[in-house]
Amino acid sequence: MVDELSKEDNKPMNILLAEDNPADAKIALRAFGKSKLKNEIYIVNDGQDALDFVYHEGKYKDKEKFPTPDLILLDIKMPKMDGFQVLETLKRNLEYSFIPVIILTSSKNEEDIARSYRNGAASYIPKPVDYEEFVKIVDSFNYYWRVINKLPRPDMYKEK
Amino acid sequence: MGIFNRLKGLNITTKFMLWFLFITLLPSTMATYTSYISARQILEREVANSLRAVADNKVNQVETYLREKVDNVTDLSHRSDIIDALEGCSKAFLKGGSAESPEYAAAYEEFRPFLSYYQKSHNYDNIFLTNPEGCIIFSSEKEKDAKSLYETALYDKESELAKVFIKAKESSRTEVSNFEYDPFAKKASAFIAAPVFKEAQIIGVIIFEMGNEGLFKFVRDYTGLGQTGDIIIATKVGNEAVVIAPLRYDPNAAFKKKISIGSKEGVGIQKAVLGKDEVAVVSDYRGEEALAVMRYLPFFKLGMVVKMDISEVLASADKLRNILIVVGGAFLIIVVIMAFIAARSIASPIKTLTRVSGIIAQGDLSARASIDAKDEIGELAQSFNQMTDRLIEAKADVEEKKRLLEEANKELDSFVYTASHDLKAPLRGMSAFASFLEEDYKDKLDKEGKDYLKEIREGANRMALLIEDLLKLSRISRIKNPYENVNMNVLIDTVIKRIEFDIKEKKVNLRVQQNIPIVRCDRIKMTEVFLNLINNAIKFSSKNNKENPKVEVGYVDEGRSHGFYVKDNGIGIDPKYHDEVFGLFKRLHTLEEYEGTGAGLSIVKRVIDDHGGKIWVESELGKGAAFYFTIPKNLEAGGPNDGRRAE
Repeated sequence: MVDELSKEDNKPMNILLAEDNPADAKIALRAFGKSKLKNEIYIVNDGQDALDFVYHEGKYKDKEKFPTPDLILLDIKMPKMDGFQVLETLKRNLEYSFIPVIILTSSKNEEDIARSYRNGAASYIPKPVDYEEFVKIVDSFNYYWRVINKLPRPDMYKEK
Repeated sequence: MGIFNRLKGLNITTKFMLWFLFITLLPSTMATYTSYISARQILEREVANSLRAVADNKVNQVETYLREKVDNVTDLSHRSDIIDALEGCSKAFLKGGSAESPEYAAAYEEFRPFLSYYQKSHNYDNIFLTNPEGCIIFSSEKEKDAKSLYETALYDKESELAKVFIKAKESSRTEVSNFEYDPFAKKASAFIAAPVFKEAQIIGVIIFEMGNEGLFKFVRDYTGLGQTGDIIIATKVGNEAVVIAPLRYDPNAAFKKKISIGSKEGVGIQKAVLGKDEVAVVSDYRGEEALAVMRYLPFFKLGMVVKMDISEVLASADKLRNILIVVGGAFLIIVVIMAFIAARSIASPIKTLTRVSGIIAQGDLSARASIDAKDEIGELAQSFNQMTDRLIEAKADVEEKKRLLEEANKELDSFVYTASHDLKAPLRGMSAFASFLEEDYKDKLDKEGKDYLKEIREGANRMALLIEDLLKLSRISRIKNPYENVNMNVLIDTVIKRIEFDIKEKKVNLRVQQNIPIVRCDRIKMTEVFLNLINNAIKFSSKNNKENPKVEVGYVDEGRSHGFYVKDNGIGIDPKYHDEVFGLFKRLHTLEEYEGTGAGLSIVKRVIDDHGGKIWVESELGKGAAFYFTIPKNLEAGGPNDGRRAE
């Protein structure tokens, strides 16, 4: 069953990673790179860019180069517009509210966790300090979102 | 108690009023009552005096009357026609042998007219003549004394007639008898007897019968005795006082009204016939309270009482009392009104103050008491207003401090935010890039280089743990959850489920006391307390080589507090470190021996402190440790809550 499913649905995902810290971005890229399941990772450095990317605005007008992401990995603390603002804006926009947003942050603060879910986050993943740990998490993440979970089809994004 | 408690509940105007009334009415009531009582006493004394005067007057009149009678009888006994009559009748009686003899009849007819004349003209009922032996030889009312008394000796030695005859004959002078009921005349009579002499020889006795009408004349004169005044005259017969004259309320009382000595009625007359001479308030013959003057008339052996009902004696006192009640009532109304006005004038500034302080208490500090009075209350109002001014300053001060505190809190919040989001990023970098180095330059690094990288990674991980614990401690101080009633057994079970894996793996013999009572506390933080204490207990007893870790959780009722303990059979704690173990990041062992940051007990102590409880440890090195803590029983449900509930 899983194998059949894999053939049909297990294709690489377009993941938008909003992360202002270049080191963290590099770590994430490397961890995703180590995973057996390969995905396309697009990196933006602040909240405003994250929105522009999703809406195909500003420097992200080229839909071929910057496709609508299947998943968004969102850091909370970012310049210009923080993760919560991005999350709230996206979830209020019917056109793109289907995209699952996963919070990926250093904080284990209960307030942050509660606020994320209240605003429609699909998941909340605290970034571990230990890199090996992070690699394991990325493996699990890929397995979950690509094998276990079923995402909406891109043509359904265009809901009126 | 009840009255005083009720007084406390009254408002100030009523209290003042009651005091005014008390102060004014108590003396005036006492004065009125005293004057009423003394008026009564004066009245009683005056009436007693006038009754005494009446009594003395009556006694005087009676005695004078009797003395006149006695003198009159004495005079008559010396008259020659009386002497002749006695002698004539006596001789005729002896000669004829009986009263029926013609000789006696002739003598009787001879002497009767002038003796009858004497009898009528001096108002006597009868005139008897007796011989020295006591035979009645003449009676002016012969028809009435049908049994021809005078023919024989005085038959009844106990009769007043016989007694007075004997007395007169023996004393050779005029004597008076007691009053006695005469069944033939149907009235009381007394006898006056005088010996009759001829040539110094007693030849007989002349006896005059005197009715009691003469006395009635005085007795029935009620002048000066008001409406209920009465005069009672009685003689003592056996053990009874027999009334011999009509009474005001009983005209037929003479010889019918009898009062036995010692009975409760007619106490005055009882005393009078016994010879008492006094004034007293007693129960009279009708059973009424009466003021009675008692007198004794030795001449007739009569007791006399002049009395007046107490109700009449005190009638004017009662009138006075009624006037006093009316005047007092009017006075009371005036006093109540005055007291009300006075009480209001004192109480109203106080009420104003109370009202203003109530407004201020509700938070309106602009309210001021405007009281013009220059007295102490005015001063109080002034001080009150000054106090309110100070209050405004103090409030501004407090608000400034509150603002500063809020600022500090905001800073703390931003510190926490920074710590959670930013402090760990560099650590993650350190850990990750050390890993990259290890992966990418595997061939160029020797074993020592790889160890250094491992140290870097472990240092970073450890730093992350410290930051995490620091944040936890800061959160536990900042966030206050409302107190709720918590089933501690359920709470402890929850904790045990969270560390079930550890317990199984380390073969921990864990025992939890059942039926721990419901405890009011912060549920979330209390979970943290048990989690830390049980975790610690397992950690420090897991390297015991002799036996499996043993952990015991129990409850002790400490009266005002709930007491809990968590015991283990672990390595124990040297007593010199007992206080230090609760310090932040305080560790007694190296990381190689026991992992952990040393923040756990600090967090536990913070939670217990916040609940107002105590925590301490009892342990010796190598003999296990027991952590005790208490939670006060009197925590209020819902509090404390500074508005920052945990999400």
